[in-house]
Amino acid sequence: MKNSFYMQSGLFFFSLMSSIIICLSSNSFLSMWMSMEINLFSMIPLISINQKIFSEKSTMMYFLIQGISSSIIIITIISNIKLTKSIMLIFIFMAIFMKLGLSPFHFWMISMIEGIKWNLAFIIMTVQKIIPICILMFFIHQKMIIFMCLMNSMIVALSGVTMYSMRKLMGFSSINHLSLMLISMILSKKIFKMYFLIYSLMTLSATKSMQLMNMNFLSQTMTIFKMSKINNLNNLIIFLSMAGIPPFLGFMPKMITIMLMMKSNMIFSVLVILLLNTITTFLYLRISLNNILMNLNFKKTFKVKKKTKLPLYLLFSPLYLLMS
Amino acid sequence: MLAISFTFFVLFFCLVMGIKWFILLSLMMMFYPFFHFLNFNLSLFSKNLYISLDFFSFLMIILTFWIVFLSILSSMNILMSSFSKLFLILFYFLFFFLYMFFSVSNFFFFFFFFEATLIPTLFIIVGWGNKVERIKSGYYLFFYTLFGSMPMLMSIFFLKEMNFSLIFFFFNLKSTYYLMYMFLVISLLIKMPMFLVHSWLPKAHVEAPLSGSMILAGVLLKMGGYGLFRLMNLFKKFSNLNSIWIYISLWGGILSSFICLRQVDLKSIIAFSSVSHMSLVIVGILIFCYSSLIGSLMLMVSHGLCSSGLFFLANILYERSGSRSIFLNKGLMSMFPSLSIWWFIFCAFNMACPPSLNLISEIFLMNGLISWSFLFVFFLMFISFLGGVYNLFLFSFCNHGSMYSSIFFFNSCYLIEYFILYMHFFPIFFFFMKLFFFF
Repeated sequence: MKNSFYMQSGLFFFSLMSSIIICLSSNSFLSMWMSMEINLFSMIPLISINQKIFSEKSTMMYFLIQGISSSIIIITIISNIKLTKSIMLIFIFMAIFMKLGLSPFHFWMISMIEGIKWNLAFIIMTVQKIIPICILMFFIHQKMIIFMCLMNSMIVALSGVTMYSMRKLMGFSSINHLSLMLISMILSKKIFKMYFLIYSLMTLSATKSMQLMNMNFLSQTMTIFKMSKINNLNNLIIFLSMAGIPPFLGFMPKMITIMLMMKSNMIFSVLVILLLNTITTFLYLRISLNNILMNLNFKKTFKVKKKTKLPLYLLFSPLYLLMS
Repeated sequence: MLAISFTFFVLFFCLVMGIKWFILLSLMMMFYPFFHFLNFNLSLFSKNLYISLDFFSFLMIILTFWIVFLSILSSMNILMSSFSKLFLILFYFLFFFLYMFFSVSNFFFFFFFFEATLIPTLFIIVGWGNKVERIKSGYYLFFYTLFGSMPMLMSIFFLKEMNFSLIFFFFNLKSTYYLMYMFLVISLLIKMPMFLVHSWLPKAHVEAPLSGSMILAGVLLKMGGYGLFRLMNLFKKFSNLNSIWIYISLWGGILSSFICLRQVDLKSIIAFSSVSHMSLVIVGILIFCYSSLIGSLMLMVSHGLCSSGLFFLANILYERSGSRSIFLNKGLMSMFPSLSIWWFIFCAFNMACPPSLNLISEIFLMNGLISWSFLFVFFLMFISFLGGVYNLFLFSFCNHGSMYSSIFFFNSCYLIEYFILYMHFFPIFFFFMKLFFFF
C-alpha cells in the first residue's frame, strides 16, 4: 500500500515538473493556462497523500484559490481585449498575485503552509512560483508591480515579525523575497533567474534542516536547533543568509537588485524597500537568536543519527560570485 | 577558473588530511577572497585596483593587529572553555574583515566589510556575554548599524551611476544631492557614534565580554572615523550641513562627559568617555583642516589603545570581585598597589596628561578647531576639563576609600595581566617620540 503511494507521488511530481516545462516552452496563453491547470491537479494529490489534520483544509484552500485565479486568467485571455491597455490587466494582475500568494491575497498561503509538510512547503514557496511569474513576464506594467511589491515588503515587515510558527515565518520570508524578485524581474531577466536560484537554494537548505529536525515552532529553536555545534552553525548561516546581511550569500541578489533599481532611478522605492527589509531582518534574527546565544543545552546521551552537512555554498560570500 | 580549482583543492586537502569543518570554514573564508584579490600575478606588489594604503589606513591596520592580538590574549577563560574554537574563528573573521575594511579602495567593498564586521561582533557580544540583557543590547547594536548603513548602500549605487566607478579617488558628488550626503554620513556617524545616536554603545559595552568590548572600543569605533576620512572629498562640498554634525558632537561631547559622572558601572563610564572622545574626532575630521585631521588620527589611535586598556582594567576588578559597580570596587589601593599605578596611568592618559599621545592629539585638534571658529574655545575647555573630572572620578572611586566589607578574599593579579596592560601602555607612551609617523 505504502509503495503504491510512493509511486503515485512520483507520478504526480513528474507531471508537476512537466507542467512547468510546458509553461516555459509554450507560445500561447491558452497552453500556459493549460499548464497551470495541470500544475494544480498534480499538486493537489501531492498535498493530500499524507493525511494530517490540517492537510484537507489546505488542499481545499489551495484548490479553490488556484481554481478561481486561473479562471480569472482564462476569462481575461479569451475576452479578446487588447491586454496591454485595459482594465482587464488589473484583473490578470490580481489573479497572478493571488496565485503567487502576494500581498492583498497572501492570507491563503500563510494558513495553507501551516497544514503541509516541509518538503511540500518548499515546493509551494519556490517551484510553484515559476508559472505565474512566467505569465507576469509578458505584462510589463512597471508601476503597478513596483507598488504591489512595496506593499508586500511592508506587510511582511508589519505582520511577519509577530509570527510564532516556523512555517508561517518561512511563508512570510518567501513573500518578502518574492517582492524583491519581482522588481528584479522587471529590470532584468538574468538577475531574476539568479535571484530565484539563490533563493530556492536558501529555502531548500532551511526547509531541509527543519524537516530533519522536525521543527514547527519558534520556541523549538531553543532546543532542537542546538543539538550539536554543527547544527547550531548551520542554522545560523542559513537564516542570516536569508536575511541578506553582507558576508553571506543572500546579500548578493539583494544588492544586485538594488543596483539595478538605482540604475533606473527608482530612488524612493529603493529607500522604502531597504528600510522595510531592515525591519524584516528582525524576523530572521529572531529565528537564529538562540543559535547566537552559543550555549548548548542538549543531553549528552542523546545523539543525532543523521549528520547534517554544513551548507558551505551559503558561506561563499558575494565576493566569490562578483569577482570570479 | 582558478578560483574554482582553488576551492576544490581546499576541499580535497581537507578531506584527505581529515581536517575538521571549522578549520575548513576558516580556510575558505580567510584565504579565498585573498586569492581573488591577488589574482596570482605580481600586481599586488606594484599597483592594483583593490587594495591601497595610505598613512591613515596603515595606522588603523596596525591598531587592528595590536588590539586583536591583545584581546585574544586577554580572554583566556573563554579560550579554556568548550566553545573556544568558534570564538577564535569569529575573531579571525572579525580581524580579516577589519583588515580588508581598512585597506580596500573600492567603496562597495568598503561597505561590504563595514557591514560584515557587524556579524562577528554580534556573535561575540550575544554569545559570550554575561547576562540576559545581552540579547537586547545585541539587537540595539545590530539594528542601529543596519538602519544606518542600508541607505548607505543606496547612495553607493547612486555614486556609481554618477561617476561610473566606485574607487575612492575618482569620486565626485554635486553639492545639491543632500539626500545622498545624508545617507552616506549618517551610517558613519552611527558607527562612530555621534551623541544623539550613541545609545547602542554603552549597552553593547556593558553586556559584551572583555574581548568584545576591547575590540569594540579599540577598533570598531574607529571605522566610522576612517570612513569620514575616506569620503572627505565628498563631504567637503556640504560644509553647511557638516556644521550640523559639528555642533551636535561638540555639545554631545560635553553632555556625554556629564553623563559619565552619573554612571555607577565601570564599563559604562568608559563607554561614555569614548563617546566624548569620538565626538572630538568627528569635529576634527569634518572641519577639513589638516592639523585637526592629524589630531583626529592620533586621537583615534591613542583612544583605541587607552580605552581598551581601561576596559581590561575594569575587567580585572570584575573577575576578582564579581561586580562592576563603583560602589563595590573600592579601596583597591590597599589590595593591589601595583595595579593601582596602572589605573592611574590609564586614567591620566585618558584625560590627556603630558607624556601621552592623547595630549599631542588634543593639542593638534584644538589648534585646528579654534582656527575654524574661536567660539569653540569654550566648548573645548569644558570637554577637556570634564575629561579630567570623570577620569579622576573613575580613578578615585576604585582606588581610594575603604574596602567593601563583604569582600573576603581576592586573587592577586597574574603576570599576563600586567603584560597586557604594558602592551597597551607602550605605544601610547612611545608614539610621543615618533610623531612624524602620523603625518
